[in-house]
Amino acid sequence: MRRSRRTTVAIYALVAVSVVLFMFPLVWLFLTSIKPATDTFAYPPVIVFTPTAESYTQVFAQSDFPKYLMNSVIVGILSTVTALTLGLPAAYALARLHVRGTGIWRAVALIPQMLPTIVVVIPVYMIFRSVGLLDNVIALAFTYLAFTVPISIWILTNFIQDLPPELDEAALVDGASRLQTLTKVILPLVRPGLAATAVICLLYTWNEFLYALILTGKDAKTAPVAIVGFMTNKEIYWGKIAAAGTVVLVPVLAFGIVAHRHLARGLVSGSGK
Amino acid sequence: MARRGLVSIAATFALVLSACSSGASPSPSAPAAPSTEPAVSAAPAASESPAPSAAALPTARIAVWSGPEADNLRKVAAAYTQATGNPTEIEEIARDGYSDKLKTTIVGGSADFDAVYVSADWVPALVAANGLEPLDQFIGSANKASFLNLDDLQPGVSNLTFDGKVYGFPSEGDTAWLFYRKDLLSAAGIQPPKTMADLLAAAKQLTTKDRYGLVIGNKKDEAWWDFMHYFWAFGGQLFDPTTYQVTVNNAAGVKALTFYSDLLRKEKVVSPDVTTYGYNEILTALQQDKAAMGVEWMAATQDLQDCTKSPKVCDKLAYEFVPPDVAGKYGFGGSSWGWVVPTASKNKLAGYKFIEWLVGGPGAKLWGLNGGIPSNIKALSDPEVVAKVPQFKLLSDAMPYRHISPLLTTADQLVNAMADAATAAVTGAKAPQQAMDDAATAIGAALKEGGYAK
Amino acid sequence: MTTTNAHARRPKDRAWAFLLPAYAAIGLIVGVPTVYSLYLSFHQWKLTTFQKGVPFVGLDNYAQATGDPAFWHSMQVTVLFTLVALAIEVLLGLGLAVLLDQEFRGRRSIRILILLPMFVTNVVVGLIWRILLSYDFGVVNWLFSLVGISKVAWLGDPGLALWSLVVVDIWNTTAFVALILLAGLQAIPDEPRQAARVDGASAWQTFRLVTFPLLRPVLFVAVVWRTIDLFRIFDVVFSLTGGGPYNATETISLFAYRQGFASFNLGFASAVSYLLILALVIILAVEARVLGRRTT
Repeated sequence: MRRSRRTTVAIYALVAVSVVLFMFPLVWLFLTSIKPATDTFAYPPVIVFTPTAESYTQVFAQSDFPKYLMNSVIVGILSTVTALTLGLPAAYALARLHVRGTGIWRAVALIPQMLPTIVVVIPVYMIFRSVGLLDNVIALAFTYLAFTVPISIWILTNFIQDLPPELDEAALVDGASRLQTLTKVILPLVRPGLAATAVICLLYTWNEFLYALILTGKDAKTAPVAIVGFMTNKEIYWGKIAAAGTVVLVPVLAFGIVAHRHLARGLVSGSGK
Repeated sequence: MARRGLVSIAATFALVLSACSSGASPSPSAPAAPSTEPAVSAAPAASESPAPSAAALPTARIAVWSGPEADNLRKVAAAYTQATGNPTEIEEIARDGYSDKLKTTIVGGSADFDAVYVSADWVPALVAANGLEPLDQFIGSANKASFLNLDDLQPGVSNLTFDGKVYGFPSEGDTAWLFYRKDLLSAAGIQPPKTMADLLAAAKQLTTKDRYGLVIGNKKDEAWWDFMHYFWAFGGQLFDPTTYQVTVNNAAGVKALTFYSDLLRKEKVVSPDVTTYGYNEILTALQQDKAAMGVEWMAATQDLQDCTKSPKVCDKLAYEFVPPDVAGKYGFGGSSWGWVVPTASKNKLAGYKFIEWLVGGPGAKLWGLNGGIPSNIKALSDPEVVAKVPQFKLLSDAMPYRHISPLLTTADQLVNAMADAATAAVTGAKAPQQAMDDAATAIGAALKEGGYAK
Repeated sequence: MTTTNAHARRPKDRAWAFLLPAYAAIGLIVGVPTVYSLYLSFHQWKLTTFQKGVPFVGLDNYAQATGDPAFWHSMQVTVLFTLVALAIEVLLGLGLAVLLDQEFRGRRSIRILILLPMFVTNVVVGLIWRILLSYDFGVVNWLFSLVGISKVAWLGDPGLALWSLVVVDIWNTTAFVALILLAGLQAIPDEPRQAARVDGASAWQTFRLVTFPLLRPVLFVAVVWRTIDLFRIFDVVFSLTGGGPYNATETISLFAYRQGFASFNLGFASAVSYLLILALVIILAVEARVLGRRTT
C-alpha cells in the first residue's frame, strides 16, 4: 500500500523527535561517565571536555561490579525463562480450557504485584534465612517469579485468545494432546507475545532493588544494589554511577536484538495445517 | 607542638567533657556522668592480654556502609590482622539501604555480622529489641586488652551506654563548620560573621546574579541534620532533659526556624533548589562557586581543600564556628557513630576484639591518620594525627557546645518530626510557629511512646 | 469469538496441570508473606516492643492510618500522579506503537533504542534527572537561559515537583506500553485492515473502527499493569526527590516505607499497604469496566 510523501516525511520527523527526546538523557548519562568528576556539575554545562575513562576503570578494574552485573544477567535469564515456561501453560489453560472463574485466576495473579515490597521482604527474609537461602542467586531469581509469572500469564493469555480456535481444533482432531497443541501449534504463533513478555520480565528483574538489597550479600548482589553502593555518605560518585548505569544497558541491547527478531509479524491468519 | 601544649589540650578535653556530659543530651535511664561507669580503672594486676602467639580467633565479619569509612576500615583491619593474627572480613553495604538492611538482619536474628557500624541514635531501639550484645562481659574480663581505657573514649561511650551497660565503642563524632569564601568576604569588606545577624547581612551582600550568599540543606531525608546547627545556634532546645517537657516550640526554636525559612522565602539568599539539597548538594554548591557560605559537616573539609576535587575554591575557603544568635553563646550540632556487636553473632569475642583494637587501641590513631575522626582522646591529641588533620583542634574546642540528636528508642520519630517542621517551613507549607507546634506534638508523642514522659 | 470444540472440556483436559506450576510458584513466594503481613496489620509490631509481645489491636492500625492527614495527602499525591501519568503514557505509548509499526528505514534499531530508557536502573533514572533538572546546574535550565526563558526550579518548587516526576516517569516507562501495544499490533492480521482501506476508509477510520477494537484487550493489560506500577512507584521517586519538597511527591509507598523501615512500625506499615491495595482494587475495577474484555 503506497503512502503519500507527506506521511513519509511526517513519520521520519516524528521518529527523529522521539529518538532525540528519549535518547537525550542517555546521552547525558554517557557523557557524565566520561567527564572528569569536577565537570559533572559545571555550569554552564560542559560539552567540550577531555574525556576520561577513569570511571570505567574504577567500576570495572577496581570494584566487583562485573561480578554483580553477571549476577543480574543470571537472575534475569533464569527468572525470565522460568516465568515463560510456567506462564505459557497457565495462559493456555485460561485462554482455551474453559476454566471456571478465569477472571478470578487472572485477578489473583495481580496480588503479588500489588503488595508493597517492604511488608513482604521481612517475612521473606526470615524464611530464606531459616532455610539458608540468603545471598543466593538462584533463590533471588526464584523470588522474582512473583513478578514475572503474573505478567507472563496476563500477556500470553491475551495473545492466545487472539488466535483462532480452529487451529487448536485442527490439531486435536489430528490426535494431538493439549500439550502438543500448545507446544507445536500455539507456541510458534505467539512469538510476538513471548518476545514482549520476555522483555518485560527482564525489565522487572533488572531493575529490582529492595529484595536484592535485603536478600543478598556480597555473593549474590545484583547491579542495582551495587550502583546504589556508589552513593556514600560523604560523596556521590557520579562518574561511577553513570559508567555503571551505561554499562548496564549493554546486555539489554544484546537481548533486545535477539527479542526483536521474534517481535516480527507471525503467520496468523487463516493458517490451516 | 610543645608537649605542654598537648597535655593541656588533653586535660582541657577531659575537663570539659566531664562538664558537658552532665549537661549532655539525655540518654534513657543512665545518667551520663563518666564517674558512674562500670569500674574499668587501671588495668587489674591479674589481667593478661592474650599473647600474640595464642590461637587466632575466628574471622570477624564486620559491616560498614560505603564510603571513606569503608576504605579506612579496610586499611585498619589489615593492620589489625597483621598485629594480632586475627582475620577479618569486611562487608560494605550501600548507604541508602544501610539502616534498612541492618535493622532487618538484626531483627531477623541473623548471624551475618560480628561487629557493625551504627549511628548512635539507632542504638536505643536496637537495644530495646535485644539485638545488641552488652560489651561489659568482655570489658570486665580477662579478655580485655591492657590498652583499653574507657575514659579515653568519653563522651562517646556514655552515648552508647544504656541501663548501665556498655553496648558499643564510639567512632566518628563530628560537628559542622561555617565554610566561607575568604576572597569574596574580603573583597566586599566583610568580617567573618560572628552572629546570625552578621551571617544574614553578609549573605545579602554577597548574593549576586550568579551566586547565592548562602546555601542550606532542606532535603526531606536530611533536613534535620542540616537545620540542627541553626536550631542550636539560636539556643533551641528539643525537650528538657530532666522533666522531658517538650520545649522545641519555645521562642528560641521558633526564632531559629523563622530565620532559617526566611533565608529562602523572604531574603532569597539561597537557591530555590535548597529544598532538594543535602550534604552532597551543599558540597557541590560550595565547590562550584554557587554559594559564598554554607554550614556543612566538617567531613567536607578535606574535599573542599583538595585542589583535585575542588579546583575552583580549594584555596579560597575558610571555616569557623557556626555563629550563634547571641555572640559567644555557641551551640553546634553533631553526629555520633559507633561499633556494636549483634546478639545473634556467633563470634562475639572476635567482633569485640576487633572493635576494641580499632577504637580503644592502636587502630584509633590509624583511623585518624587515614582521615577518620577517632573518638579516642589519645588518638585525637596524638601529635602525628594533629599534624595531619589540623581541624581536630577546632573540633576539640567545639566539643563543649556540641549537641547530638537525642538517643531515644523513638529517635526516628523525633528526627522525622524535626525534618517535617524544617521542610514545611522552608517550602512555605506552614508558618514557623505552626510547624514547631506540630513538631512539639509529635515529639511529645514520641517521648510518651518511648516511656520517657508520662 | 464463537465457541468451538476447542473450548469444550474434554475428559482428558487437565486444566489444573497447566495452571498448577505457575500458581504454585506464586503462592509459594508470596503466600506466606501476604498472609503474615495481613496478620501483622491487625497487631502491633514495633522494633522497640516486639520482644515483649505482638498484641492484637484490631483495626487500630487502620484507624491510625485513615486518621492521619499525611496518609490522605499521600493517597492524593499517588492517585493524581497515577491517573495523569497513565493517561499520557497510554496515549504516547499508543502513538509510539503505531509509529514503530510503520515501515521506515532503521526501524529495527529504533525499536530497540526506544526500549533503553526502561532499562536504566531506577536509581540512576532519579539521579540523572536530578542533574538535568537542577536549578543551578541543570541542562534544561541552561537551554532555557540560551533562549531567554528564566530558570525554573523543577524539583525545588513544591508546586512543580510532582509534574517533573510525571515527566520523568513518562520518559522512563512509555516504552513499556509501546512495547505491549506494538506486539499487539504485530499480532493483528492484515486482512481486516486492508479490507477496510479497500472499502474506502481513511487511515484514522481504519484505526478507530478496526485496529483499536482489536487492540483493546492488549491495551487493557498494559493499563492494568501500568496502574499497579504507578501506584506503587518507589525507587524513582526516592532517588529523584525523596518525597520532597516537604511532601509534594510523597507517594503512598514512600509513606509506608517511612513508617515501615524508618520507624520499623511493621503493623502500621502493613495496614497502610492493605489500604493501598484496596484503593488499587477500586481503580482497577473502574478500569475493567471501561476497558475490560468484551466477548465479541
